[in-house]
Amino acid sequence: MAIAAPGQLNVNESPIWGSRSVDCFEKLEQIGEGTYGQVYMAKEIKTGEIVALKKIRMDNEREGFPITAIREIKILKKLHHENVIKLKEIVTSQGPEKDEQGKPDGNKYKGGIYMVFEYMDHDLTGLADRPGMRFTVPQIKCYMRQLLTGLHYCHVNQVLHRDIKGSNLLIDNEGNLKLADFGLARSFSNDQNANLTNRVITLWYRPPELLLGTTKYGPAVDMWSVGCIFAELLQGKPIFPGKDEPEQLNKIYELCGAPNEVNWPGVSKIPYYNKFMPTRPMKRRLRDVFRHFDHHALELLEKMLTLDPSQRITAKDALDAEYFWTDPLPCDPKSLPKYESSHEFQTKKKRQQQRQNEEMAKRQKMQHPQPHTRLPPIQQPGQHAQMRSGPNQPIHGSQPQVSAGPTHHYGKPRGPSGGPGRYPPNGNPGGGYSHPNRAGQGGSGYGSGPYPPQGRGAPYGSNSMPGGGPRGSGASGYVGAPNYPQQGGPYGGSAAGRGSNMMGGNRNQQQYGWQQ
Amino acid sequence: MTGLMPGELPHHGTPDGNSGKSSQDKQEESLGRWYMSRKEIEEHSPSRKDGIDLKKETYLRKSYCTFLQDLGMRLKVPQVTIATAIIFCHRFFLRQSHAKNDRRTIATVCMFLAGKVEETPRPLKDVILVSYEIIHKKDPAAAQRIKQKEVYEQQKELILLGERVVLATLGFDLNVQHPYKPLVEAIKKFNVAKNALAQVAWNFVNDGLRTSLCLQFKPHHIAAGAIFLAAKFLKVKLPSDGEKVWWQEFDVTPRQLEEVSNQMLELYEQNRLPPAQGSEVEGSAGGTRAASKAPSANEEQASKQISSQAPQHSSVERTAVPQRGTENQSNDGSAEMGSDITDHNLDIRESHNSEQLTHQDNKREVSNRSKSGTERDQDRIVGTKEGAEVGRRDESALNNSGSNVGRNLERREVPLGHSPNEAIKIDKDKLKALAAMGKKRKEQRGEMALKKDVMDEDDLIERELEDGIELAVEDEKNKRERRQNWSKPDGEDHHGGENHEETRDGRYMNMKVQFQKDMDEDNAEEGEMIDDASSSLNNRKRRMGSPPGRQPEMKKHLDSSYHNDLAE
Repeated sequence: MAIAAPGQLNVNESPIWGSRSVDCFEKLEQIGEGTYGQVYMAKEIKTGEIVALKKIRMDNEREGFPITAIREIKILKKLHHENVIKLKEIVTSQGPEKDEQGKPDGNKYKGGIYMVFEYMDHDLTGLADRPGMRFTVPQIKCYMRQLLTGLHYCHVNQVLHRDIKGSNLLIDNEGNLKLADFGLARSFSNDQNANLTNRVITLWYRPPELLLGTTKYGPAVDMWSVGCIFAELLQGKPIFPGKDEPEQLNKIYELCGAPNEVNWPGVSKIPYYNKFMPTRPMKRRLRDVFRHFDHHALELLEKMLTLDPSQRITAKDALDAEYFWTDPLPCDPKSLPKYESSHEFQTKKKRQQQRQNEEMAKRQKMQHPQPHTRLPPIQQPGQHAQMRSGPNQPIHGSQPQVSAGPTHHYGKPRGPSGGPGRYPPNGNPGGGYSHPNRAGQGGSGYGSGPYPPQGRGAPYGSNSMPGGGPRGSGASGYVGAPNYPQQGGPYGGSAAGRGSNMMGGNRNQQQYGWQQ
Repeated sequence: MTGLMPGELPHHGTPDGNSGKSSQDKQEESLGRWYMSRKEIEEHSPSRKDGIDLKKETYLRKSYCTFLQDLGMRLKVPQVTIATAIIFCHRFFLRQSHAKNDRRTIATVCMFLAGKVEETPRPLKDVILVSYEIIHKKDPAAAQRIKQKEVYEQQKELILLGERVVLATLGFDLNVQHPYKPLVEAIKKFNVAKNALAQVAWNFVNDGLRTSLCLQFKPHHIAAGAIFLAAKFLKVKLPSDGEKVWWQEFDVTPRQLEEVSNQMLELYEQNRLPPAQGSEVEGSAGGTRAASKAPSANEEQASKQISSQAPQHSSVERTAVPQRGTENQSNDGSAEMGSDITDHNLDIRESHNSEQLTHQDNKREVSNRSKSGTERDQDRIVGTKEGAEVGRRDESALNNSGSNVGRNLERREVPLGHSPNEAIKIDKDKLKALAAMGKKRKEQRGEMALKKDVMDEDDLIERELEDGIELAVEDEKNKRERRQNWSKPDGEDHHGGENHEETRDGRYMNMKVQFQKDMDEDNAEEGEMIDDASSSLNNRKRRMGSPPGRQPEMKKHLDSSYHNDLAE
């Protein structure tokens, strides 16, 4: 037989040794959505195993398979740890597909490509947002220890996650926590010669060195995010809910003090240091603001939220902190109660809530706080309580469980627990986004966000604290106006800094959509 | 030099030993499906099932490797990216047939994909344009045709579709490791001729990419083989610390070392056996040395005249002359020369394959016969190895002993500081190494071969002489055309008006430059600077600091980005 003709490709055969077809799985329900792609709960037809399918978005077909997806696949194929989400395989679909509106999606090259992950019942944000949910101290220690263990493994293997937040921390019904969504992850070298993008990590969890514009950084950026998560678990709400970069930095300075050459040698050489000089002297107030925290927890939090990345604690050292080795000890993951499935994105009702919240946000555009009429008395003014409409409907394949809090407490509970309801997109809609940012953004740990592909989502910074605690939060620093989005930003000129992998294109449309 | 491919290699230094082991096991599991024995590769490849025989598939493999090397150099990607593209291509055709997949389309896709995988992405437009021009280098209109929108869009759709096919066939296994890193790390520990040793070994690794070695052995095994051969070539004695031999640090067995070395050497033997090719190589290798060119031409003419008279004895005598010249050249040259020789021969076949269909059939016929000689020789060697029974092994041992005795007599002054077993094995390798690059061994082997098959060889020699002359003429034309094509799309190409000798030198320099780049950690990191988004300030800094070769790409990226903004 002659060799293939020029341009001939074998596109019809499905060899057993290549990638399997997505038809091996039956999609059960969509559990995530966003600018990155849809995430589905699915069942493998042959084995009945429940998995999560994350569709790889092919927005920029001009450059073929996205380089961000290539990075994610390479990294996930190298990482094998009980606290890191497992990429089981990658499957493809043969023909053109239809998106949820029934239109053929823009991808005209032989259908979709999906990453197959092990299924996890919850993400930390969805779990924390459950009505009446209160984490016990041993539970928080258990989650934090697993988070740090998984992150240390990543750092030892020279991987930066660069998008640690509650919705990217998945938890199964065995109490196991796993790091997920490596869409912004990056291999790094120890020589610190590489210039990396500083437009990564969701705004509320972004460290000061990135906000100031450094491009040489390492594992410390992830540890700042962990510190924010830690404080959020202890406090019951996000501690730095900024709506744009300047406000984000200002919130950090208010709590952690302003950086200078004494507490952060070399900070004055970071590009935007002078640009964001605070208008008044700011002292570090973290210990005062969180003085009600457990002593060891406060000690550890101090080291995580150190301004100077070179002095910030590492994941390995954090695991040795007294916090994890004093009573009450971290609980066994299996002893945690079973919860009904809780993903931040879940049902149509949540969408309706989003629309209602959006309308409320418009009405309050003048930034006049209007406390919700059903606000519990112990809550702070300006907080918005969202009452959820009962438990989620049972999920096929998972055991229905009666929603219940922990069966007993260890030690004295401290403050209400709970989490933020929504995350903002990074930076400003009108500002200069770097597109790798958006590639990995999302509310679900599998990589999808709470916002629909077009239009504005729920207002930023809304919190859900229906249960309340026996003692109110002493965070006087949070008294003030609620956070509303603002148009425009100071980075209009930095649009020229886009990466050369040309991941723009459709993403620009997504970006501009936010302005509508 | 450390961290040649930063972040690409997993580190298993986790605090939890079990976790580390588990990770390693899974890594092995994933990698395992891309390694198999040579026998499996040669006898059970998908192309074989579709009627493509071993020698043709071997030719096709070299063809797409040469194509990728050329494409990679024109796109100015580092050698690591070229190596990754070649391995993707090898793995693809390990699973898919040449009868159903056009190798140049697949190779283009593999380069496009490797660019993204190795953090040195190239715009799809550039990949398509350069690839199209290489594929159609004999067609003066190709450079213009690809710029027509319909033609370009068609190619684009083909490449994007091909990317899906390649990704699915590779099972999305995109983590590839290369011998370069273990090679550099090992040589750093030696205190002998580091730079020369690294350079020669590097070239052996690059040439070895044309074989299926990377489908049989892991990168550190190939690195060990390359260092071994480089030391032989440079006559450098590798250090041994007491009883510990240098290759034990590679976790490589003597058997593996022997197998890797022998397969690398086969590459050079194949290319030198045909006398006509030898003459051709000598002519080209001579470069600007007119003195060496003239004798070569005379020899060719003389051989032709004598061959036309068909006296057997005279042909045999004349055949020896070009061989001797080739060997002299080889003695004077270095491994780099070896690389160039290999490149050159493959270029001939490349141009040969680009002929029109009618000529293609004839040329392939000639090519098949030409390869037939090489193949027969290979079979002889393989038969000797594979057919060995207990008795034959004893005979082989006796032969080795004889060779050993002979070599000792010849090189009494060179002490062999090895154990008896090692002496036997390494001497055998010396024999093969010298056979590939040594004068005397080549002569003896050639003579023996000719004596055994005088009748067949005589006919083949005559045909190959004629074929060589024709190919030489075509090659000359093609080089001119390539130069023209090269100068058209990129105004900044400095080779446009120069003759083909300097073009070849330019390629040579590119190889060295790439070597420097790959060896230099900073340069390796530089690739990441281009595709990482950053503030405009840093962008400006990088632009100023970029090497000249990258300026056009930066410009293209920014222009494209700006254009996109306007479009949006």
